[in-house]
Amino acid sequence: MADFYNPEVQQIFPDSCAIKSQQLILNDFGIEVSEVDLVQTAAVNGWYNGGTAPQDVGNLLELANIPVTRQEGANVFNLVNELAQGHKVIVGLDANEMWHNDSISDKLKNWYNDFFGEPGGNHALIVAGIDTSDPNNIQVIVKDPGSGDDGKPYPLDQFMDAWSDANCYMVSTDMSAPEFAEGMQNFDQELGHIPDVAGVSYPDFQIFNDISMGLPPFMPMGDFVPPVGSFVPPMPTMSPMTSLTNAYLDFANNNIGFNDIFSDNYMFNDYLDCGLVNDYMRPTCFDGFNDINWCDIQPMGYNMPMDFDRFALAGMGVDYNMFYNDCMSQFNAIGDFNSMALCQQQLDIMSYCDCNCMDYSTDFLMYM
Amino acid sequence: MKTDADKLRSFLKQIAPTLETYGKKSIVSEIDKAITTTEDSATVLFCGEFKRGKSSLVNAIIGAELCPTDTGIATSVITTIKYGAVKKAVRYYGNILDTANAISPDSFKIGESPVPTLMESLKSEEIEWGDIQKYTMGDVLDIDNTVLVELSYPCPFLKNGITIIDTPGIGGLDPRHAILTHMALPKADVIVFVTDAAEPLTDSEKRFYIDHIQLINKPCILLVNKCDELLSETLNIHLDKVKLEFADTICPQIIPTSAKYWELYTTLEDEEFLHKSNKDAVLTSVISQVTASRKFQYKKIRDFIIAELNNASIVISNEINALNQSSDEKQKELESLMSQQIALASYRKELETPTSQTRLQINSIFEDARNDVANLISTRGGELTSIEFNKLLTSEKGLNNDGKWLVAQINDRLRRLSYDVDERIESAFKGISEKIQSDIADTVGSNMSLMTGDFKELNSFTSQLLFSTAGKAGLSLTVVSVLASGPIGWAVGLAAAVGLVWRSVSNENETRKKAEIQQQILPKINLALTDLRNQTNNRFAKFHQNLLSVLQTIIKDIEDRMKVLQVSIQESRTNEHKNKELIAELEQKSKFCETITAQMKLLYSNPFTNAQ
Repeated sequence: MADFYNPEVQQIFPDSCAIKSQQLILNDFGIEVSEVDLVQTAAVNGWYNGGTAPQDVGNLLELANIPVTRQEGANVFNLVNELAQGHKVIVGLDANEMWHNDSISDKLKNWYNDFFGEPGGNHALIVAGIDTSDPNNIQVIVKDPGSGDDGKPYPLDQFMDAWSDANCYMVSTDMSAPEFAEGMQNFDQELGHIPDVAGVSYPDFQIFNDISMGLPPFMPMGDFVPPVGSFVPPMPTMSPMTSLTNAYLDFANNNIGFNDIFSDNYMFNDYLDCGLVNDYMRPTCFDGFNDINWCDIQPMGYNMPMDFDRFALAGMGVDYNMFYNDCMSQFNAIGDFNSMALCQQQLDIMSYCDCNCMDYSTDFLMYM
Repeated sequence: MKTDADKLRSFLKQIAPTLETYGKKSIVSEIDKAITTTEDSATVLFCGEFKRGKSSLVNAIIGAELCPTDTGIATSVITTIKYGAVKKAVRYYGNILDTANAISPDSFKIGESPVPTLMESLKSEEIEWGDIQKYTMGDVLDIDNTVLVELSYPCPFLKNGITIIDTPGIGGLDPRHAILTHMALPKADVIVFVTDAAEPLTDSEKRFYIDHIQLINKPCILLVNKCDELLSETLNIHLDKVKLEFADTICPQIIPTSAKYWELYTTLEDEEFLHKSNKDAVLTSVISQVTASRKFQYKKIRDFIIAELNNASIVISNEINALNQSSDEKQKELESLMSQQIALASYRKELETPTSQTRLQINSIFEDARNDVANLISTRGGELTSIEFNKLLTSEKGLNNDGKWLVAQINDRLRRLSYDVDERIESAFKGISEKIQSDIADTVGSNMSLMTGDFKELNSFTSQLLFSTAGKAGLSLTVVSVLASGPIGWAVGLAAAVGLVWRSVSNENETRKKAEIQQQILPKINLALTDLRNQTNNRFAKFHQNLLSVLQTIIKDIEDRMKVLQVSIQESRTNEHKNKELIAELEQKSKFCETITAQMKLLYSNPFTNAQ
């Protein structure tokens, strides 16, 4: 078993995990400050008193002029979205489910606590990345001040269990970490995000992220079956978010087309609140449409974007499928793959509309 | 762990293309050079009053007797010692005043090493290692005008780029020593101010510190040397006194030391001397101050990069504004061209369609004019053949001059009628051409700033319409020509008839004469009127034919204009597209500059250090 211990990551005080996490991020941004100095600052400001309250996580970053966003009830897609933009992410979670989850008795204890124990997280750590190289065993890579583990992978399900105990709380920087920070060497600061997320283009990933917003918060899924005679119900074997994750990975591995994610094979569809999804997907649609580099092509003979904007496009009775496919082949010919991906994003939104009884033109293009 | 230099280089690498495009071409290499200089070099300058043991301390740090030490005033030149794998000594010599002018503190720039500036104004020669003392001790003649001796020596302490500068003592009898020290002082990254434990901080030393060292705002260490000469209690009292002296000013780090014990430790390796020399504290402090100095320099470079990036952002922002402005203008131009195109297309359709409003209006003007002229001929012709004719015939002169007067009168009236008809026709034609012009002006011309020339040309078409069928008084000229052209013309016929009648009725009574004349002339007048009607109809017919032809010409011209417009619109669109593409690229670059600037501002910032 690989040794992930790194003394630089280990917190000094028993209750300074959030402060240490922030210190590691500050160091990533080139601010060299000791954990002790941060503990003092936090204490002076009332952000450290036998630990750090979730709402105070990020305050030290803000004090150092690193703006942050705090999100409660986040999901794995939201988490990945932040990482994809080079942002640094601290999550709150239940440390017991991370550190003590190997034996049956540990699992039973954690599972019991999930149902009957005190809710809430007790630990903060940094999520450094997500390894999807094995779709059947997705790993969340963490930098954990509590254990001193640097880059230790945890199975996604285990991480989600632990994270959900803190109501999937997440604090992320609004600014990408600089190039010299760990893991940022190949990040394109000018583009502002990685080109693709686990085999799916970033624009397409955004669609999945939007869809995830229309699903209920995390529901623990488990392969753990309670002992015979137990009076507690077994956990559901699949959560809607897990189902969407499966759909995502199937799509990423070219096992299915985008349309197919809306089939009965994926139970997340039963839980999908399209009203919520639409609220998130519309800005994605508009931004994506506007970011397409129309100037270089003439799809179906139109002079874009002079001939029509998205409103005009909606009113012209255009065959959107044909239109965007024509666009994509033209972008492909000139090597503008970003615009190509953005056209595919529009096609995906159309698929979402088709499969959910909506009209791309009236519900998205003209809607504002 | 990335070093400060690595972090700066990381930023520099990312923004190099932007800086090179929107800033000074050489700026990237200048910054890179500054980073390397800061990374590779730091100057630690030893200064103080004479006989404080500066050179001894320098020798102790180096671990070799490089700098001259003596019981008298020893060092007379600036001595720089840097790392070199091989021992080497170079002396720089020349007029000290020229040198002083060449190295004013303001001349320091990013990437510029201070010592070379000092040395550039001097001559130099390599000297034998054994001759070092010859050029560093004694008066100006003894040392042959030597100002600076540069030594390279394989000392591990200097391996990380530290250059030690030993200066002559101030406060001695030779003013040249103080001048050299003052010249070298601004070039220091870290200043080590050496005092004597036995005479802790004299008034002149304190004045030198406040007036010179503190002024240049560089990290400073105050070494209290010769601790070996005092008992520890006395030393502590002296140290407290020194600290007290700095109570009202910025206090440097004060470290007691002993060059003597240090040398003994180097020689004997006795741990007791190590402890008594306070060597570790001195070296740690020097290294710590060098690090602080480098950090300060890196911050300066960071601020410099941010400023340059900011300048680049301003240039980018100005370019975006200019492109946006140009885009707005192009957009307006394009809109104008497109509205012209629409107006032209619409007018062309109006002209092409016989039942269009414009065509119906033109037809209406045309028909009204034709009816008006027909009515004129009919009314005035009727009057001429009845009341008017009788009035002329029964007038006193009616039968004068063999009836020639009467004929002349009738001809005159016919001419006037033809003039009037002519005028009405012209007025009608003018009305139609004005209608077309007005339509063009209303539907096309009013929003066609670029069509001024074209509009004039369209006017010329209508002018052709007006003048092509007949010139001014064309009809009356036609009538006159008929009068004058012999037997075919009705007026000549009329004159002959009058003559014939006159002869046949000359012997008749007056009443009869008049009746005969009336009977002979009236049909001729009617004939003339009929001719006038025919001519008028011909004229209208020709005009109509010409009108259709002109309309076709206008339509053709409009089509030509539309083709030209289409090209302009395409060009305008292409320009607009290029503009937008450029704007999008620049906006992305601007955002990138913002991100990098924000990231760089965080570098070396630390709002937590004073937290208590």
